[in-house]
Amino acid sequence: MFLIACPHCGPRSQAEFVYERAEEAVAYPDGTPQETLAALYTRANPRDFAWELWRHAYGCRGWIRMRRHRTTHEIAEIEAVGARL
Amino acid sequence: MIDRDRGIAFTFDGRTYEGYPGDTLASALLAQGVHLMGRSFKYHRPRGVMAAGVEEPNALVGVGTGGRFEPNTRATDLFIYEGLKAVSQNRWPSLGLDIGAANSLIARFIPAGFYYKTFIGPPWLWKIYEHVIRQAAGLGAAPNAAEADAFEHRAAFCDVLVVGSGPAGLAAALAASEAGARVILAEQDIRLGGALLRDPATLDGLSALDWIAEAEARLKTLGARILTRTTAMGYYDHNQLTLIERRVEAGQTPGPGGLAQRLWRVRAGKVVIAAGASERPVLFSNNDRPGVMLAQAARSYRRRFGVLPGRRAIIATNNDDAYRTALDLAEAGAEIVAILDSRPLADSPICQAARAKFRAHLDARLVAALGSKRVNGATAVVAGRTISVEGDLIAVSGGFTPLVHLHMQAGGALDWNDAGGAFTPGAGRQGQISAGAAARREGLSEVLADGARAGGEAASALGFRSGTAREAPIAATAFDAPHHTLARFETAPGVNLKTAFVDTQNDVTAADIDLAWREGYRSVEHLKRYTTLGMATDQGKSSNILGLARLAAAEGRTVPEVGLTTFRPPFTPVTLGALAGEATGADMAPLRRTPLFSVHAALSPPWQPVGYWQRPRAYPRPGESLAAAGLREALCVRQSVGMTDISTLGKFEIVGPDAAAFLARICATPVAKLAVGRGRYTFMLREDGMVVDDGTLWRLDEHRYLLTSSTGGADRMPALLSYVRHILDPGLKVAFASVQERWGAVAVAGPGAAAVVRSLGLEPPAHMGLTRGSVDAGQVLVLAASYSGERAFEIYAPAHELTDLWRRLDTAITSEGGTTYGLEALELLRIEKGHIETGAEIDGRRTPGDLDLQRMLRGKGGYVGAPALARPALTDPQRLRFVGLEAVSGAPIPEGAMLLTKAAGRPHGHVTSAGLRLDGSGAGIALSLLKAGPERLGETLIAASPSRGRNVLVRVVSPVFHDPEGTRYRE
Amino acid sequence: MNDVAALNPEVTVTACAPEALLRLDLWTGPADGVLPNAGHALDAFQGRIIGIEPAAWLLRAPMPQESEAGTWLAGLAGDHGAVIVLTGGLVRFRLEGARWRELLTINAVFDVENPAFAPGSVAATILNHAAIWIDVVTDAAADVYCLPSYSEHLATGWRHAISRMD
Repeated sequence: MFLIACPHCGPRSQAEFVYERAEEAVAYPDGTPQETLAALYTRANPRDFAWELWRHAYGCRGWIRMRRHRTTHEIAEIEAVGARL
Repeated sequence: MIDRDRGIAFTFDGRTYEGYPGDTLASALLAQGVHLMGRSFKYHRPRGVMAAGVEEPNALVGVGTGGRFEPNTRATDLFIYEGLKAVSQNRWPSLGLDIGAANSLIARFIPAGFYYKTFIGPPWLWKIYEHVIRQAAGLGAAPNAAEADAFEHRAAFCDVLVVGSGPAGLAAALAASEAGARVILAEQDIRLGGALLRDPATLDGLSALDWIAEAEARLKTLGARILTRTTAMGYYDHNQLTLIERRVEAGQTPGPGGLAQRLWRVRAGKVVIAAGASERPVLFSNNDRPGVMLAQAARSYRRRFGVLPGRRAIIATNNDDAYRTALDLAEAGAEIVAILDSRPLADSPICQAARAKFRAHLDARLVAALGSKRVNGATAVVAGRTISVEGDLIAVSGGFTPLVHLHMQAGGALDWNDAGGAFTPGAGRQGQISAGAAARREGLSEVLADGARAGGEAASALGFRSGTAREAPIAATAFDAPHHTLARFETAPGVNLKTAFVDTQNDVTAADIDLAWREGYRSVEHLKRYTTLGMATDQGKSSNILGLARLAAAEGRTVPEVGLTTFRPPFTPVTLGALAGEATGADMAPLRRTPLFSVHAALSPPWQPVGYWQRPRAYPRPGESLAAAGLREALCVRQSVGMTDISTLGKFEIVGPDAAAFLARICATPVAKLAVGRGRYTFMLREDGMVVDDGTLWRLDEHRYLLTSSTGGADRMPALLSYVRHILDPGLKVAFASVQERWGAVAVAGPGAAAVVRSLGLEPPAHMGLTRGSVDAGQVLVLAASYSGERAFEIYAPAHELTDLWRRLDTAITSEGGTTYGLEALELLRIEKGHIETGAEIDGRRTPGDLDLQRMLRGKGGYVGAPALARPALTDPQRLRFVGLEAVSGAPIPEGAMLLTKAAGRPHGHVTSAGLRLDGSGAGIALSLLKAGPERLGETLIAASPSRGRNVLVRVVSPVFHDPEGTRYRE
Repeated sequence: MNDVAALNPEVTVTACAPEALLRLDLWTGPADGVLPNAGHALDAFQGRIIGIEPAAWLLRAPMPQESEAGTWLAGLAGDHGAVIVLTGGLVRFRLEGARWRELLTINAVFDVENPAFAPGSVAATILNHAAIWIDVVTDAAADVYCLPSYSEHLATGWRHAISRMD
């Protein structure tokens, strides 16, 4: 289980979070069909750092964007995102 | 360290022996002159105890009885208790006379990997081999009763976790604690001290035992948590480690609550790995005989357990440390027959001291051990000359392997020390710091200083600094120097490789390693799997390096070039119960209860698991089958009235000036025109355009809505709502909350439903309308929605008032001649009405068009999933589409059946929900998904269910079998 | 629902009677000075107001005061927030005794034993499969809120855990 430093709650176990999606996988309802399909079905998944969206489902219920290394799991940056910053 | 004032009686192979508190099973047996403790895996060779710790490969026993039985327990890792029952393994009829020993006679036919070669030849012959091999495989017997004990999982946090309480670990724990860090110290042994329990020393002027006791007291005063009998099992991400704490010994009855073990998940800031180093054996013929023991183990038995493992000792070594064994055993009265040192030179103080007393040879290597059930001598080659000596103990030391398991699991790198023939911890990737023997520090002063440094560094890296820098403990010991190991892995001339065991537990010999290499298995990964080197319960702790060195020599490469296989948890075997904790049997998953659970339970209905919930399937009368009860309840709803608990459905309250805009994102149907006090059917899509759930939407007030969903959706929907709120449209002025459990709900359905609602003093709203009211001073919400197809009302009451509401309704329903109904009836009713259901027709792969919902889509779009619906593939008329089926003969249609046009054709679809007509005929009907379904009305198909052995002829029809005009639910 | 038996005087678990529960969300504007920050709780309205999310609070009040409490919160919300009544939607357990923190380490992932998690602190976390909120009331007492559907499961787990404590 990772240790994830939630900007609101402090460092917490991954067990409290849900991995939602890679950041580039957000498909907006007003997007074009092409944008939607690209977001849904095209994924780079590099053996490197990448940005992801996580939700603190059992904590503050807020969302974060996280820059995580896909193989070493090192977490380089975390930022709160969402409705009220 | 043995308390001889109190005897403990235990049995081994049915015979009773006496030991003392502090004894392991191995030390107690050795003290009683028992040297034969096991039979080897494949060849059934007689085996004794080789080590004194968890790396023991041979002396494996089964201990305990019934649901408490633990096989493959190391006799060196089992502290005796009154009534301990242990049995040896892998032998029949007895340890002394084992017919399996006949395998030794056919050894040349069963080398490593022989079973792969049984695949050559006719398959029928292999089935015979397989049966025989399967019978012979395995060491211990599995328990045959359910687990008797309890296990618990705990979370713990600290700044510095110290693994190992030898001198380095204690010094590290003290340094970190003194600096103010929160410390956890984990020790797998039953007491603290590690190597200090084996070798005499004075620390800070105190005897080793006194110093340990003082260190423990000091640590406790400083608030450190000390866990003994606790093994660090694995090192995971971000400095989280799992520890297994034994609260009782294997097979021992636990105390109150029955707690046998605890699994600790520890999150640390830094981890000091002071796990020590494991001594290595030496390769020579019959190096597996009882009486061949690791040199440090021989010292442990003497000093810690008060047992001399032999009276006439032969010492074979490549380092200085084994000389300490010679001096120690001699001090206890043993005769040192010879010291065989494979090095060309050995003139450090300890070697000189020993050579002054005993016969010692340089450039000397063992060739073979003599004796069978116990060693009685050895042959060796000394500077080219063969000699023969007598003795009952061969104490060997082939060098030391730092325990790098945790370091490697944490993603660390390794360095190679050539003289020592050992991998040492290199760069770490996480918060790990190795210290002491685990970092290849040798000599007590060096080890203590290293531990203190590691603990201090760990604490200061986290921002803790001690006011006065604590000095490392000062050691005074007879010989305080490095081991001067000179590793030499090749065997002496004349060694019979077929009896030179590399991995004694899996019976892998040097000849097997060579055979694997000759047959082309040259990668270390292949070597491991082909020979099973390092794959036994000891995971190669004493054998891996020996095997790698042999492979490297065959390859003409160095050991680091050959590399290592992956270190994986657990460090020592873990019982499954510890991993499961309390999540077993009925407690595998939580049972979620609606407010009416005990009311239902009082009637003992058959239950249907729905996620973590359980819902009554029906309320059968005495002697009534489930199917009959379901049908009776459904007919009652059609003809009279029924009530059912729908509390598990998802419910969300959405409020704010932008509530409608928010809902317009979630719901694929129109939202804006919904009037206050009105509701409508709605459905939600995933971003790929698939329908993911359906429900109803109600406008409670100008800016306040209630959205309902399926039970499964109640857990899925919060994620979608949150995603829209925070990611897709974060600027909206809206708030939402799950009110699934704030409101309990009862559905009242049937021609008599309105009368029942009136009898409670409530005004029944018009279809798809809502009213508020109160029943017995409790507020309720009444929603006129129908899943059954009859006039129906969902009555919401706050959860803690639901039981009262239910009782009131029950009285009213009964007086109208109605009944409670469960899921079976609910299904029959909604299927006949043609209502789709999440999980059945809504299977996550259906677009709104597939489910005939396209007319309800909001033309303006803007909802999740809208852009994806434009994909051409999603408008293909040949897609699976929602349609009804009726059985031509009226027989029941099997749910899940494939729909075929001819008996052996490819399926054109499948039956999603199977039901019956409720018009008295009981004829079989179903809902289904069929390619181009709505265009095939009238066609006859075969509903084929091979698993039930049934084929039913069906006709494609409209899915609405009951009241297609919808007159039933309007007054 | 019954109280969890007090088998060990060092930690007792009691299920509280149903109370009024209201949720306040604010979507713009600064939080009123009355409201605690997220991760904290204050006594308010003969009950407790708990910062459960960065922009959301839970007010727990005596049942007869549900309506008044709603009015008070609506005043705080003004037109930059909303109130949702959740009465009946959570169960409150009162944990008391010297070892309440230890009890909450079982099947847990949160560092409840950290001294920094002091009275007035609140944490949302997961315990034994259930979503909970922990409100540290005093050094020797804490409230744990959970969904009613999980309450029996948690209570049984605590009963077993207390019986194993030595």
